Amino acid sequence: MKALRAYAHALRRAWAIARSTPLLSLLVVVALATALALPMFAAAVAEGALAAVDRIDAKPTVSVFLVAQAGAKERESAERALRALPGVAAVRFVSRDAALAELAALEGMGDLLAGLDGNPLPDTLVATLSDADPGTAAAVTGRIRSIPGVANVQSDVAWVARLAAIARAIRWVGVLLGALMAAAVVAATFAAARLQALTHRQAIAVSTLLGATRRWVARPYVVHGVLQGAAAGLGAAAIVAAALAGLGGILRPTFPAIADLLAVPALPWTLAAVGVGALLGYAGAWLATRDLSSQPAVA
Amino acid sequence: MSATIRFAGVTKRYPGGHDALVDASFELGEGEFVYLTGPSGAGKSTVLKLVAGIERPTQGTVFVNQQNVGRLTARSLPWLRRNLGLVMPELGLLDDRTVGDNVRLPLDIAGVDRADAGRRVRAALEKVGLAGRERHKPLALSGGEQQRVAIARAVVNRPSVLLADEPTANLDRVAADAVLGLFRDFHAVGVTVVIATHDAGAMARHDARRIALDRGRVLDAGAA
Repeated sequence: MKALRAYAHALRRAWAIARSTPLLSLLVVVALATALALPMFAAAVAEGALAAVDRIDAKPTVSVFLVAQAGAKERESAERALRALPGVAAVRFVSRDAALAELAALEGMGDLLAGLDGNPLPDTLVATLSDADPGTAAAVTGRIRSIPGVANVQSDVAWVARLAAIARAIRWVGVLLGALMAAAVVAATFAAARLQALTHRQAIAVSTLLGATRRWVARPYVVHGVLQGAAAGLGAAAIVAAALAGLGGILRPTFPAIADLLAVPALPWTLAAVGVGALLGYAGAWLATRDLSSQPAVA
Repeated sequence: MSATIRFAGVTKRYPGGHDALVDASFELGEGEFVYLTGPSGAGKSTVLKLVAGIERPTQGTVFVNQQNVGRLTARSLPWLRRNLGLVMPELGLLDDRTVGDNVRLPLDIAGVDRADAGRRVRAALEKVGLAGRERHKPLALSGGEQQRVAIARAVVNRPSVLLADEPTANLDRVAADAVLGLFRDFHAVGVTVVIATHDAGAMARHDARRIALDRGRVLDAGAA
């Protein structure tokens, strides 16, 4: 019960600290929110990109374009050879007429294709690979090229691998930014708590002489740091949500699938941001107030 | 009568080599009323600081309620201070808090619940003649009233020992007598009272045991 009363008192004093230095408290929250938002934004973009890669990786494909003069016999032979290759899970035939019809169905392509004398597209075999590993895909692609009747081979595995590498790089940058910004948040909370303690040094000295323990003296500043960190986490979540919404709005007309992936689930991210912010706020304020009552009691 | 406060061969040397107290030995019994007298620099404030654990003796031992103050750790010192009522220049009132909040501070530190604390704050302020002034800020009060608020804060936690350093300084005779009368009242209910003062007039009007100090030495420990 006494402990609860001590925390209730600390909460009231933390609120009094915030009210006595409102601008400092607000600016610290803004600075912390900005620092937390940067790695959060990088992480959100990286997670979106990796989710996109995961979706594409589910069906890595290789398009095998046959020579223009290939007949049914050559196509069947190429298809058999393709199915026999290790690493090929399935093969689907797309005739040149079906490919043209698919192309014509795309917006704006119909008029363009109407101007052509004939169908310039080749018959195509679309092979679905069992493994998205770029090395395996390269080996399979090399073997396909040697099959008679094959004019060209195009794999989507390579660009998927590039996208995955970029996403991993963004995530790494996010982790690096996260570590740096966490240190910045701790430093900012430390400096703010020190400044606020300095502002209230008479109250600290008097409380110490009246029998306050170090913990009792420090607790309001630590609670204040935790509240600042939590508020900053909330602010950071709002900043990131707004930034992702803006980015999604720009990408949606051209890349709707990617724009969809940038819609980060709001609640878990917000809770995580608030939790991390509170934890970092606690760390900074705790470090700042470790030796409060061991300083000279009387200024 | 058991000793509440005991100084045994206490010397206090401050950095720079100044001896504020030299080989001081005396005892104060439970429920005594004692003046520490002497001119400025006699060592009166140093005695009070040693009792409160604000300073530690360079030599000798200081016992308060059977505890060797010089050996108390930073963790245990707060518990000693909660049994002491302090009225000292170092313990000014907090100007940004109300009179009520200032008086309540020792109770908040001790973890007394809000309702009980409220009752005790009102009772303490009533005792020092400041009933109904809880919501005032200290700066709105006169010097004598501020001193009475400091006394209310010192006694609100029902300490066994009350230490006051020049509590009548800067007060006119009427206000000084009112303040000393309060200390008398607390003494009457069993509180050990130690007042450091060089106000000879006040001491003459409120006679009690005197421990005379000069340049850090105990000249006369008075009769217990």
